Amino acid sequence: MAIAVALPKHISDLLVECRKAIKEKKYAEAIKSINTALKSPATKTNTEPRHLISVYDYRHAAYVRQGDRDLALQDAKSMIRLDRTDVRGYLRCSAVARFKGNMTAALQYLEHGLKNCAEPGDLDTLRSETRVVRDQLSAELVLSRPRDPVTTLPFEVVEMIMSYLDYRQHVRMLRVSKSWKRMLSVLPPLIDTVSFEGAKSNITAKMLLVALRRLVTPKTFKISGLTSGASDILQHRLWRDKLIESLHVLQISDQNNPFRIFSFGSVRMRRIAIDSPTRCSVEIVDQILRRCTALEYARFTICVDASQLQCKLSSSTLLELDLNCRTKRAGLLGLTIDLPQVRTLYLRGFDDAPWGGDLDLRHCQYLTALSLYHCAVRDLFLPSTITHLRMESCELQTSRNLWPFAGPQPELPALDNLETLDMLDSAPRTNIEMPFLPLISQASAKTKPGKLTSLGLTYKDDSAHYLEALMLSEWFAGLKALHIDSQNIVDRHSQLFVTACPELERIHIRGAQITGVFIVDLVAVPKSKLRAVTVEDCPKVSRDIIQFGEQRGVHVKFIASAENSSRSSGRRVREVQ
Amino acid sequence: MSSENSKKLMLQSSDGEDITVDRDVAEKSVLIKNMVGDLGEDAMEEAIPIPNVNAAVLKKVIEWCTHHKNDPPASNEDDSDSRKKTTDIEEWDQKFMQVDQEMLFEIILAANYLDIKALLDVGCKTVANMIKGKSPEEIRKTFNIQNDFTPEEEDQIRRENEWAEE
Repeated sequence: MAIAVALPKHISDLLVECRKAIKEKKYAEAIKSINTALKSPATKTNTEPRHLISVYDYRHAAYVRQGDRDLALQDAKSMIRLDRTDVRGYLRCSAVARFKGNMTAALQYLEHGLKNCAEPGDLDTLRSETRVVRDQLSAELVLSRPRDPVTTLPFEVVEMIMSYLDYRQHVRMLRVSKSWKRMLSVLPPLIDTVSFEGAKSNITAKMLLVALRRLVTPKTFKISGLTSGASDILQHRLWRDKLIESLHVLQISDQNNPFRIFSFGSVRMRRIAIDSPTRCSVEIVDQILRRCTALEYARFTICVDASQLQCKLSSSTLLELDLNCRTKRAGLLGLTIDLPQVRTLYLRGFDDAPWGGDLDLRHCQYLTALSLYHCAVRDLFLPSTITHLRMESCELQTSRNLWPFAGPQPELPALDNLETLDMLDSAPRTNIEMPFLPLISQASAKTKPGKLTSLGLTYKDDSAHYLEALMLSEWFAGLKALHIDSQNIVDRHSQLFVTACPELERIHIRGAQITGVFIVDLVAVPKSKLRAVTVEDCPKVSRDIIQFGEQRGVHVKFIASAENSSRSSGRRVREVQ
Repeated sequence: MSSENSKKLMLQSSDGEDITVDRDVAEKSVLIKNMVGDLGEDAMEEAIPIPNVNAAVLKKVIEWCTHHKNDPPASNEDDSDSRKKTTDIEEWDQKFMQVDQEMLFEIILAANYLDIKALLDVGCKTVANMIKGKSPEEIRKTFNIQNDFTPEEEDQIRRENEWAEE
């Protein structure tokens, strides 16, 4: 519009007329009137170049709409010739070149424009246009002069490319072409791996056979969701054909057949996971640990009806063990542990109290993480290397429970390395007091100052005196995260937390009788490091505390849940390849 | 940089063009480095023939080596095994690899021949990224590959590997 205002009358009349014609799609008419005007000598002599450029611009537009790209380009070029500092010619030339699919030319016009134009606004337009063309150019470029990598590149290079893609992608690529299929079927992941990870449908016998047929030297099996036919085939191949002897990784979850051992010699297996619903007996666990002389990771779900569990876990190589017991009436009493190298140990479901036994891990001199879920323990013996200790819904029946009133007791070492400690109970039993507190108090008395930064705790009124003593010990002074689950916490306890934990950054309170006052007390402490408060199932806390916290840089979150049990299962076998 | 390192080398491309390049840049190529070592200082007066790489590609490779000449040497081979491979490529390399496929594969072949591991890695990652997440049909389209399966054959492979499909 701005241009039209500044135009001399004869030109502006012409352009108005043209615009109308173009709008009505009468392109030929528009072009004709411009041709006439340009022929008149008056137009040539009496019109400034920039106005003349406008005239050409209109004819250019008419040509473009008519599909006459060559003539459109000619006009655009004329526009540049009329005034080399006018941006419009360059933009039009570039646009026509793009239409014609000649991105390099499109880019060149814009580069010329950048050299000759001076107006900052024009330069910006040119630059952004350049970017668009460049992007388009590179997108087209990577698709241009296409070659089939598999037939163009030497095999060792193709192999490298394929090593960046996952197994699923490999399997999908079998369909690209015959040469791809040939290439893939000699590639290591396909010739040493059967993995149905993430499969949504059941694995039929046929699918399994196809996968097995691809194998040359099987190393990795990750199998779940088999139909019964497929399961029978797998059993046969694993045991009768001794496929098991070459495996490095076995992860299996199969409801059809129990995990059995027929016979096998020494096995190179490094990682094994026999997951529910596979039925697996204690004897199998025992045999696997004894025969797999290079085993580093093992996960078992034992679910055989045994009236009394007897199991010896012995391995000189195992680094991580996750043992989940589904057998009824199983306790730690029947469990002997001899794992000198173990770093991480999970035990679940050894909860039959009459069979509760000692858990003596003092020989595990590298143990850093111990997690017990639903276990009944008589006495617990730990090495001082432990950094993460988690006991969830566990019972402790120790004679030390009477501590500090009883006589000499088996002692816990100073837990100087302990960083996180969780003693939670998702369903607190009424007749048992917080079982591990006395034990932990004993350790805390020796540990100075310790490294503890995170504590999770479920406690009952009976244990309150332990807790208070415990919290005021040096051990807790460095605490940064606290998760506390107790209906016995009331507002007046806030002072205890403030004094005991000056470094506290995160607190999670569940099921307490506190009101907002408790949180205000915590937040309002000068130089408080508190940044996050989670309130779970505390009905007396009203939500206006959120805003109060926000104003002081503390994020307050409410959770209301009936079922919040913080069971963290589902640890997976990590990739070895 | 010692004065010895800033010495020039002359490389002769397969199409006969002589290209002068700093010695420390050229020695990103293990092949050239070994060659210089074997031939000795005297032989460096003459152009070193690079018979498998044409001038256009050789110049691209030299551009890459120049940009990366101060990179620390690649760590030992063991990374190929233990950790999971990512296909992340740094921005400059991404731009560098925005070329047509013929050029891309020529660069990869040259990196392989000249034994420039880091460049070979970038090239392989670039191709892997062009494949990643694509369906067989999309892969064919990307590389202009003829589908030489009959519909029945393709369908059979699809059914056999159904679990891997989205």
